[in-house]
Amino acid sequence: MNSIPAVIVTHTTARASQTGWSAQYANLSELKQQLAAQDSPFPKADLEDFRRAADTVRLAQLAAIILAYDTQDWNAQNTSLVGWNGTGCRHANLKYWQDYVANGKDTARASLFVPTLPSIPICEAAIALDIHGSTQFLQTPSDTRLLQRHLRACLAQDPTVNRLLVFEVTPDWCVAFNWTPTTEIPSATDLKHAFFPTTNTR
Amino acid sequence: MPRIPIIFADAISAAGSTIPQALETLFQARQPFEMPTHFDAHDTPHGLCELPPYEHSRSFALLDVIVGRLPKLPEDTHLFLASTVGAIDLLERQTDDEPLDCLQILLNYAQERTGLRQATLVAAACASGQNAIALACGEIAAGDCRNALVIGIDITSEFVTAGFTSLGAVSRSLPRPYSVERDGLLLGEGCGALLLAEQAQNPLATVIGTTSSCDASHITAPDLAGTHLAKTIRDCLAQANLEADQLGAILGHGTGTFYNDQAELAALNAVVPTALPLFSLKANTGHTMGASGVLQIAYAPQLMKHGKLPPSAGVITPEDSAREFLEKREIKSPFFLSLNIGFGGLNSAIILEVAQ
Repeated sequence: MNSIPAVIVTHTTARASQTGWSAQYANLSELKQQLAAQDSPFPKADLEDFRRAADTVRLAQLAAIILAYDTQDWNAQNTSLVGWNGTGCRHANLKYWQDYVANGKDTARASLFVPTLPSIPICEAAIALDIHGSTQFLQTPSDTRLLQRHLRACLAQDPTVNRLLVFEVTPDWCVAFNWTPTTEIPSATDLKHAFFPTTNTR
Repeated sequence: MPRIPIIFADAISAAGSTIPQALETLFQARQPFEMPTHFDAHDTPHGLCELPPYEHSRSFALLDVIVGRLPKLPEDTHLFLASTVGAIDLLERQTDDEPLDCLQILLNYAQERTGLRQATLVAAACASGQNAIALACGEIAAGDCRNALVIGIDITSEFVTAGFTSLGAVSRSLPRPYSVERDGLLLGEGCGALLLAEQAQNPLATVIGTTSSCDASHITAPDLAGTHLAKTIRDCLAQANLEADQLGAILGHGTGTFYNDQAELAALNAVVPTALPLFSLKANTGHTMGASGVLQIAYAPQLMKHGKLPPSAGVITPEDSAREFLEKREIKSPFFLSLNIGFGGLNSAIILEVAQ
């Protein structure tokens, strides 16, 4: 079992590295219900707009909740969030633009504009868990060593932070892990291959 | 965090193609907004840069202006690019269904034009610019890079104008930050560049504090009480080892929307015991999104030379909570606080010590 708290969430399966928790479900709404059930050990989260959210947002929110559960000494204090690579906002951009072209200025949907920022899924994860640390998206060449370097910089710029939740989000999967200054991220081109290389995300 | 020197600053915006030109516009309180011809802006004026004719993305032309004026960069310089939409006009023109990565396209172009081997895109909505500066400072502080080029850039486009219009955030007249009569923002475009170094003998300014936070309350509206922005400012002051009354000037985010300005003024009134000079560039340049934080920092050293902040353009009746801040213009100390606020509830504060 990996010693770094990490989770993967797809549209039908989810898994956490530390606790060994896993689930299968028909869709993300069903997973949300499982996590929010009365007797659930998962932290309570604000998922008010879940039904209307983009897949990238829903995957990031659910990954954040499971990651908090997978992290033994979970505490939202002194925690920052970093989004890294994945598919960024390119699918959201196209969806918003095609809607605008099809419907015009007066009837285009504002709700599709907001997710055109690549930081939105992790901001929604911050809202879900009431995390108030810095939140940003970084895009670099596909190499976790570069990510590791940036995470060190995030701590160097703000010494009050002692934990970073790091997310890689695509419309099909989200991998998130808990980074502290002693964490060495496995070398890989993306977080799925770093933490869950055998998981089928199709 | 160690003190990180800024050894070069340059910027282009609607206020001027160079920093001295822009300062002239600011001190004349001009609001040079005009109707774009490169897209259908639905009768909304924008803050536009003077650009030469271009064939591909407008963002390439904007970037070319700044890159053409950069000094020779040390080989180990790391590029930090801040942008919210990148080369978004390429997506507007595409005819197929392949999702273009407009941010990566601009990052690739910036890397090619600067010849730098290492490049990172920083996206934190309209706080991207200051977040990129903070990350660059962090890399230098951590010993992972010796020189950092931070570029903040965003263009005007139908994509963004339509989005902000649909959110009801666009002014029907002019941007009036901190004014009772404010009714929204006008969009602008710009590009700013800063060169940060591990050490320098006579820097333009020195970054002495960088902090950021998330309200975690609403995805598009800031927390009107400004609670987390206030904490971000306090943390930044502590990092800089300063008390609030030691600040010489505040470069606010000041978009001119009801929500932004309300949150920002609440935070400033909670932290600052007696009013300090406050100014928002966005009344003159428009909201330049990912570029705005870099522009604020790039203009600060020249503002210090003037010894006072420009008059606040567009203001008719200052908000009660802003009145004293806007009345004061004389800069009495070299410490500048610069603020950015972005969608997602993002807050960013930077404190600079500007050379006198």
